[in-house]
Amino acid sequence: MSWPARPLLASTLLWLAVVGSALAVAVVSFDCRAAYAQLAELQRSGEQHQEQYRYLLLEQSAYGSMQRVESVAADRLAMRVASSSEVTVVYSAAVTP
Amino acid sequence: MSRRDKVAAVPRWRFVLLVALLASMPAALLVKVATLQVLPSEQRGFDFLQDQGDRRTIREEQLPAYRGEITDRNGAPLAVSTPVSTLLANMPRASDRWSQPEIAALAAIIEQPAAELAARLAANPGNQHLYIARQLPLQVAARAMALGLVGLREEREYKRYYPAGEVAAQLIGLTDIDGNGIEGLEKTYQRSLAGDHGRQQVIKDRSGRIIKSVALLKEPKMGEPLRLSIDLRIQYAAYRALKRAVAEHRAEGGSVVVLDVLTGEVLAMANQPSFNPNDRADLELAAVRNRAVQDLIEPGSTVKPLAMLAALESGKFTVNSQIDTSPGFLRVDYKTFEDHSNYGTLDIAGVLKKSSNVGTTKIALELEPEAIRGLYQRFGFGRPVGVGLPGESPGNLPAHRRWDDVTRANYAFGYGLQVSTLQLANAYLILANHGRELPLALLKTDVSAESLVVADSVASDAIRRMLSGVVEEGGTGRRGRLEGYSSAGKTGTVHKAASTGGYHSDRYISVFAGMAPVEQSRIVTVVVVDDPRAGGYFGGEAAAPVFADVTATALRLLQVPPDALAPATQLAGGGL
Repeated sequence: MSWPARPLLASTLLWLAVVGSALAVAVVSFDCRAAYAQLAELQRSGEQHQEQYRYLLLEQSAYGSMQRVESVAADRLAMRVASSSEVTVVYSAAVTP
Repeated sequence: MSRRDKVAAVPRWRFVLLVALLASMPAALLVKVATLQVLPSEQRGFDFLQDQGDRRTIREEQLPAYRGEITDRNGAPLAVSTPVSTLLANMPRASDRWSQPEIAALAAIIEQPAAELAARLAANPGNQHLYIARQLPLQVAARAMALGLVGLREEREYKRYYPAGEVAAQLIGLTDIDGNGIEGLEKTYQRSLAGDHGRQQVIKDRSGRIIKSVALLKEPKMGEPLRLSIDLRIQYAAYRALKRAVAEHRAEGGSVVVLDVLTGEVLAMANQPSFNPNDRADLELAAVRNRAVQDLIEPGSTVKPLAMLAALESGKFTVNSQIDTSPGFLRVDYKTFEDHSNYGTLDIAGVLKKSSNVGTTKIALELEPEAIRGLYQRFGFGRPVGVGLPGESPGNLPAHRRWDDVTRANYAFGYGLQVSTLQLANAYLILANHGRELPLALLKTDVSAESLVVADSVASDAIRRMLSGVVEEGGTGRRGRLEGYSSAGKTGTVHKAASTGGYHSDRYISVFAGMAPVEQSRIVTVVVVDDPRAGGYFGGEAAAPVFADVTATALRLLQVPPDALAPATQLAGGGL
């Protein structure tokens, strides 16, 4: 190749590379924003799940409170604590006291 | 004239001027661009401009952190933080832009009188952080924000809910409106429970959406959860039984402590009166006090077993020693000590069973003056138990240079010294644990603590067995008998100390301290009922039924096999 052609080719290639990398910067920064938006969305939904978990925890403990369990057992299911004459203790041979 | 001559007629300087002007324009642009972006300048240089640009796009965002949860030993929640919203107004921005109907709509949503809100807005025209409403449910705050008022903003906060409510109120404690622990375990463990909000820098677009995270300024630190040794089921049983007893006996208050003998863990600590930590509108300070660790009582007869243990340890008495308590009273110096009736000759078990003051006095006066106090000290009186609750009292265990006989006798049956309910429970734990002390714990641990020998195990076991006589027929604590389990304990009825000095003649503190089952004890329970005014004031009447109820429930919940059933119902089977 004659000497004027070589730098022309080189600078064309470099110019193309610059343009290419500029486009890549634009693409990557767009991807980055999209990914960040997705992350923010996931963080928000994670937070919402935390919130909901805490509300459910409170709800569960309200429904599972001893007061409620006791009143349901006694009133609705007509349960009571067995008296000592109704209790039979069965020991296996291994743990006989 | 030729065409060429006409062209040459234009002067050359005009051409030069034109080129120079055209060339100077991009040069001027370049200079301007350089001054804006590259060259430093005294005023409004590129750094100033970049900063201004950032200020318009970069925002600091809070990364929320939760305060740690408090749970019982089985994971049941005792304190949970849930997100709530606080509405703030930037009044310089909002001023005069909120119409009357808008203020009325906002007031309706946050449930405040419209006139009051309007007055508050008018009174704070320069406030950039005016609280409109704090700790609103998220949905309510979202409705308020939907009004689109200029200058109104929402901040995330956390509110503490206490699912167990009044059942464990004093133990768990309280946080203030900013989420800092101010009472109970919330205060003790503030440092580990508190979360630390993080901060990050972000770029937001016009509509407030985050486009880009620039920098994480501070990592959010979540509060550490706290797992207590408390069993909420036993705590509830203790609270319910105590509440019932306090109401039944029209008492001023009371406390119950339940300990696990195997681990030294506190399974329950309940107090009356109590309060609802979720609604502090009419909070009374007296109800916030954790009586079980803060209030001091003279333990009365409940320390007689310890005095008897000192007697056995001294070698001057054995389990078979006989003490003549007739004629039922004994005069020591200026004071007469009385029994309820003349019990005649008793052995040590009998002295405990009848709670004989005469017998105890006679034994105490035979011992070295410091023997009983020394034993009390070994059993933890006079120093804080160290479970880490605020306001924990060390009690009073005075030492005397000269021990007169009345003081020695008083010491032996529990006057002249002061202990908390928890300290008394700790002392009974040592008795139940064959004379070995375990460090008490309020947090669930999986490693078993080292126990420390503080008393002779044979003598301790002997005293423990003697105490089973107290709940038998003819003992003072018959109502401390459990359904299905053997139990051992001691009643105490103490004259209440008057604030003016001396004692009230007709006001009492009723105490029962005990353990179950007798052999291989698993549970120690101490019940204190303060000033019972109806239905009997003796420890055997006001406090013992609470002990029986709570201890039996606790043993059942811990699945301890019953050891006191009728013999016919116990089957010893083959290999199951």
